[in-house]
Amino acid sequence: MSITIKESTIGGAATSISTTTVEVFNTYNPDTTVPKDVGGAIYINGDSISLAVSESEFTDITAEAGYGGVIYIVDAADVSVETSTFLRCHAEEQGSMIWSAASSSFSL
Amino acid sequence: MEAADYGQNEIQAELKFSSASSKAGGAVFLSDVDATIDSNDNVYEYCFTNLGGGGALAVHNSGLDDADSSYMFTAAYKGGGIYFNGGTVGGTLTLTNPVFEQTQAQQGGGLYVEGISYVELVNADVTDVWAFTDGGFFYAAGGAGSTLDFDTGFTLAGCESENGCFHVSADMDVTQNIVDADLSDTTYPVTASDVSGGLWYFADDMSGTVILRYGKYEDLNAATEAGGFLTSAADSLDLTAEYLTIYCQTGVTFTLSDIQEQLEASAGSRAGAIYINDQSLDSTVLSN
Repeated sequence: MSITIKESTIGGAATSISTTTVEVFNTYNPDTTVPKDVGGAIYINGDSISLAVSESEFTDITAEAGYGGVIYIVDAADVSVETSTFLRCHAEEQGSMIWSAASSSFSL
Repeated sequence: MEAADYGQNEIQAELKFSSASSKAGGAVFLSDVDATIDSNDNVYEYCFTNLGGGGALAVHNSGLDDADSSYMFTAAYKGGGIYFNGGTVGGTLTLTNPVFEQTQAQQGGGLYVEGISYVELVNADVTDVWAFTDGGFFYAAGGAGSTLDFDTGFTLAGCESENGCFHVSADMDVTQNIVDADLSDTTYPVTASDVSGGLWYFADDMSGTVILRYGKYEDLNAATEAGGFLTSAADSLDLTAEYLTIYCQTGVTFTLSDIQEQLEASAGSRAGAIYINDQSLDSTVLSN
């Protein structure tokens, strides 16, 4: 599976995670046990998933009491985040903009 | 491309991270990436973590190859700009043309390294960095065989802490080298420590080899207690210092030229390898 997010604008009030959250699951192995207060905008869990983010802007996104204010990655294949702006984002624990626990490759 | 205006300097940033906070990895937290993380031309500003490591960026059990990125006004408990943990297997951190400006932490105002880490700094530009206690710019708590290499230029303008701008506190061998580099234009002005080791501080749990060559240390390298330039309490330190030019607080030039000293430091000695009293060159001691 390959997911590309390009030329996007994702934003919202810090307390309105549900309206700004984009959760992307590996449809072959969904993990419904993970609380949704992680990954304010993007959630990735699947070692076959490749994620590319470019030319995007993420503003005022928060993962309350969690990890990865904007992007939260449990497991992924290849991840690329480039030519984007992250502004005023917050995670209570780790990675206000991006949190990733495992991936094959990662480019910023 | 994102154009950000920082005073008179316009920075073209591939990625821009601004105004972020968390308990670790102020902007970005990455762990267990199989391949070396590739990072280029990014700007981190006004990011902080109040309890953990990496005001801008935290990397665990991975390698990081970053070029042309800037860390400005970022803060953390460990590593005001970057926290890097090479893990038990060993990871390589390469920073080419990094800019650290106004970064601060409890330890490692700009950069904090632990685990087994191989660190290479190429043309680093560091301005006004600060640590509450140790390592105004750099703090290492590395594992066996860890290394720190400086390649080509390194410019430092303003670095404050209690113990050393560069603070090495490693359980096992750590090697720090400034080797065969053209450092003729390198300057270390206004490097000050409140207690010991104005520029270099090697803690009592450090054991390793240090080679300092061709460095030019200008203006103020000062400490209130000991070692305006360098303080060592290392368990075992094999030090080579040659072709250095050191300007002390008094403005008198002290030159170590061709001395090629090989010194063994004593455990627990606050100024084990080289002690240069910033109050008077007469009290300068090169001893074990």
